[in-house]
Amino acid sequence: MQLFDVLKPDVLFPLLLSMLFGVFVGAIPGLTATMAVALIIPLTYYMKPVAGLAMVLGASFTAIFAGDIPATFLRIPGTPASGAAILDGFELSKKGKGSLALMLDLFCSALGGLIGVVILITVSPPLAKFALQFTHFEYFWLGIFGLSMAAVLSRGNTIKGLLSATLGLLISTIGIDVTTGYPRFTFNVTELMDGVSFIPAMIGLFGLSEVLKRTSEKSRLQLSAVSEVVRPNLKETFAHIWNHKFTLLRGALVGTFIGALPGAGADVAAWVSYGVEKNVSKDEELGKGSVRGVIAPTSANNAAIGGTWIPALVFGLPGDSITAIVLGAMLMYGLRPGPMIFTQSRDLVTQLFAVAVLIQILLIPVGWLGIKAFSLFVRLKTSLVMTAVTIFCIIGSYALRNSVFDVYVMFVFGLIGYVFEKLRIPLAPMILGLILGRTVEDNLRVGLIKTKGNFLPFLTRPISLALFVMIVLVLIVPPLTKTFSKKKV
Amino acid sequence: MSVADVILGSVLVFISFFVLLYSRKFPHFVVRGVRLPGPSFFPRILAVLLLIFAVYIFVEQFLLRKRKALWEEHRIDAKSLLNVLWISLMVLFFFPLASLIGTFITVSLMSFLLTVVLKAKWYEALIFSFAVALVVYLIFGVIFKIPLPGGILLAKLR
Repeated sequence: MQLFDVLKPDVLFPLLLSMLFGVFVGAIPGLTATMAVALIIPLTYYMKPVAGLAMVLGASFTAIFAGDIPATFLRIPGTPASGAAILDGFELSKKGKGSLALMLDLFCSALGGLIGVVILITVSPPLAKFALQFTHFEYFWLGIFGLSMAAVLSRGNTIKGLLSATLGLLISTIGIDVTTGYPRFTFNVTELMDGVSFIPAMIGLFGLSEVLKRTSEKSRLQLSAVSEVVRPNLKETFAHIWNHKFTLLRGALVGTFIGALPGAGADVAAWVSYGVEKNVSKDEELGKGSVRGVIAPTSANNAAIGGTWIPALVFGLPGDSITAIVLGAMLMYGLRPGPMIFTQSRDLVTQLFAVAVLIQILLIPVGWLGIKAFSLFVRLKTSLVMTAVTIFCIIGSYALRNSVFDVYVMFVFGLIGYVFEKLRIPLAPMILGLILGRTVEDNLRVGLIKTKGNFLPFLTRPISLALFVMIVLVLIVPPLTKTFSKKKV
Repeated sequence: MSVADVILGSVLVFISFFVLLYSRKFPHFVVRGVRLPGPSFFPRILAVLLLIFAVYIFVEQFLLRKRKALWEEHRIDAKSLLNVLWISLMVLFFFPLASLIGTFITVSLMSFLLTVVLKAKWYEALIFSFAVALVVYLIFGVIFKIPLPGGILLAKLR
């Protein structure tokens, strides 16, 4: 049976390795889950798609969880998604309850992740059937909607997010024009005829740029050792989870919903969930070492990963920067994300769902190992970690097509990422622009060719119009709310 | 006024005009006498959008007098800049060097140099660089059989 293929060594072994790698990357402050995925993709080039995608899923789930470990013990989030977990996790740690906080982190991450995956499994197929009604007009707006959401929800200001997305779209126009076969912006460079390769670009933007950023900072990564010996008390942990089951459920539901919005990822989900918990529970201890403050964000950030896969699989629209990389990888495997994947590659989708459930089970022992090994990780020096990351960025970019040109592409994008970080221009919209560029342009042009240049049908079809209205709302409502609230003050 | 944002705005204007001018030589897409969106259609829309962003940045900086010293918050000292330079050189010269002396030695050598530059102790750097080279060789060379450069000089020695 296809479903049980995921338990075969050629899938299970890489999955376990990727989860250990995810713990390692996630637990080191400054190295993000996105970076873990970008670095793991080159290892999956020669694997079968299900094993490659299992590695990506495994690394992302465990990295998001592992980010909570330094957040709890050192008040430094391992990944941006652990920002909200700092507040109460560290306060609990100061009270000598760091072990409890970490055990809650671990089990709530697994349970939250499981709820997110169950929603992914139940919602995706019917949504894919609905997506079959989409034509060029709807796909054009859907692409624009994804880019707008990414720009609005990413950190920094919206204008800079939109600018980043536009630059990504512009870079996507490099290469041979599909409609006419004319080479655009290639400057007679043969390697550019196929366009800019996604994977080296992503490795550069998220891997090398981070290395450049961290090595140009004065502060060092060298961290102090864990002050508390981790002694788990399962009975106490389960009692807390049972007593706060609705907090966990709320966190997971909020996390999945936020994750499913294109552009919002696990970090946004964790903060929103924390905010919701603050409003709903009225717990005055929140922020001072409340168990609720640990359960809500940690269940939300892992549930969000399941959520981000909903638009990625159904519409081919990345939910966050991790799924943006995943979409690039899927294209590399010869898969085409979108509603048809549920009929054309049904077995693969089923196996992916099975892998996602399996990861939540494996997260408990792997995460526990991660917690135990944390004291070793934090002793690693920046110089060693950054050197290893640089080497993997170089070899990983080369390995895709055995092309030195791809290494230079990675380098250029590394520099772009570095400058963007300095100017506080978000990176995720650029990657989304790069990936969605072809979709947006092709659907716009084919739509216009069909209507002989008339743009009106883009606004008259019901789903198109609904998407257009949503885009306008996404772009207009936040600044209006901001202005309104300023006037009120 | 943020100098970095003004530079950003200027770069956007440059990219925008470059795209607008360069795309003029792209052919028109005409079907049965009807001119339809061709290869220059989408890049030009994006170029105009970039120009609008640039104008927005200039207006924000010069008219609204927004004082956001973003770049200045992260002023980079010469030492840090040197680190960035080292990494850049390492990336750029990795494969030219690997094609001469082979990937294994290049990884060991470059890892050693970089870890020392980034302030690791020499013996830590030595052990670590050898370990990284071994891992790279095992994963990419042995398991995935990627043809990593073996090195011309080493081939001659053999």
